[in-house]
Amino acid sequence: MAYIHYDPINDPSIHGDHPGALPHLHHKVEKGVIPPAQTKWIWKVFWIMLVITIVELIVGFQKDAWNLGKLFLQIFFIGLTIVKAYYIVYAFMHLKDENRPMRYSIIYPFLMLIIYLIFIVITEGVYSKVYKHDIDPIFKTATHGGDHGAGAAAGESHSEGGTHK
Amino acid sequence: MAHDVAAAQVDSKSLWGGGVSPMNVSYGKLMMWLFLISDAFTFSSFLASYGFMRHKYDDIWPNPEDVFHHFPFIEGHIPLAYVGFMTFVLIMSSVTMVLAVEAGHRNDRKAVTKWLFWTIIGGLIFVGSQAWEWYHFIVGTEHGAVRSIIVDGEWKEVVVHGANMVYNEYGLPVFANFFFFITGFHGFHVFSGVVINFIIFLNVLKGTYEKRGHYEMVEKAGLYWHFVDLVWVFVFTFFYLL
Repeated sequence: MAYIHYDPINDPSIHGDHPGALPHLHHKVEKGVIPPAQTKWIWKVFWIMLVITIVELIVGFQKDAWNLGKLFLQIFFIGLTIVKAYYIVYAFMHLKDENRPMRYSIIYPFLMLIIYLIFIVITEGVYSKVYKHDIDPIFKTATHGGDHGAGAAAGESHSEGGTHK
Repeated sequence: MAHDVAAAQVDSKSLWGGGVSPMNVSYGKLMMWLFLISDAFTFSSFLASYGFMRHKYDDIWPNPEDVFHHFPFIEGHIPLAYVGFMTFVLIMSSVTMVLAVEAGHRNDRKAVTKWLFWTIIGGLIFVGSQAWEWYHFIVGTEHGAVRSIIVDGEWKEVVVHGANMVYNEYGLPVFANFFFFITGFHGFHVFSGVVINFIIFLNVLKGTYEKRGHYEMVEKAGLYWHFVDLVWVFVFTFFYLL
C-alpha cells in the first residue's frame, strides 16, 4: 500500500487558501485555457426537482377534490420532500463526492438525533391534544373563550366577524 | 474522481493516526458543514415543535389554503400558486449556484460572475416575495374575525384583522407565531445568503479568486445557499402542503 507524501506546510486542509488547495477543486489547467462546462447532471437534477414540485402542487390543489386520506397525504408529501432533500444534499452540495468518513459524520449524527426528536415530540403532541380542552389560553383565544369548543374553526368566524362589524 | 483516487492511496490503518486529513476536505469546507449541521438542528427543532402544535390543535388548525391565496396583480382565490412560484425561484437560484460552483472548478471567471449574478437576483426575488406574503398575512382581510384577546387584563371579544404574535384572524394565534418565527428565521438566512453571495460576487469581479488560483470560496457560499434551499423545501411542505 502506497502512502501519500504528507507535507504539513502545504496541507490544503490546514491552509485552505493555499494556491494548491484540494485536487478536485483545482484541476490542472493551463493558464487561459478553460475546459468546457459539464452541466448535464445539474440540469437533470433540476428537472427532477421541478417535476416533483409541480406534482406536489397539483396534489395540494386537488387534495379535497380527489378525497385523499390524511395519512396518504402525509406519507406522499414527506416522502417527496425527502427525495428533494436527498438531491439537494447529495448532488447540489456535492456530498456524494466526499469520502465515506465525511459523508457518514455529516448524515448519521443528524439523522439519529432528529428521528428521535420527531418521534418523541409528535407522540407528546398527539397525547396533549386530549388535554387541551381543560385550561389552555391558546385554545381559548382561537375559539371565542372556549364557549364553542372545537367547533368554532377559522372558517366559521369569518362570517361572524362580518356581522359584528 | 481525482480526490477519490488520492483517498484510496492512504492506508486505512494510518488514516486516523494523524498526519493526513482523513475527510479529505479543506478546513473551511469542513467548518461550513459543521455550521450547517448545527443550523439544521435548529431548524429541525423549530419544525418539530411546529409538528407538536400541529398535532395538538389538529382539529382547529387553520387551513393554509384559506390564508395564503393571494397572487400579485390577480384578484381571486388562488391558493399555493404564489408559494409555488417562490419555491421555483429558490430551486432555480440553487441551480444557478451549482452552475457557478461548477464554473469555479474550471476557473472560468466569466461564467462564475454570470451565474452568481443570477443567484443573487433569485435570492432577492425570494426575499421580496416573502415580505409580500408577510404583508398580506399581517394586514388580513377587510371583514376580519371576532377573537377573544386579553385587553387590560380581561378577556374581550374584538374584531381583529390579519395576524400578529397576539391574535390571528384565520384561527389559532400559534399558527401565526410559528409562521412568523420559522419563515422569518429562514428569510433572514436567505437575506444573509444574498449578502454573502454579493460579497463573493464582488471578490470574483475584483479577481481575488483568480489570483488565489481556485474558487473554493464560491463553493463554501454555495453550501450555505443550498442549505437555505433545503430548509425551504421542508418549510414549504409543512406550512403549505400538509
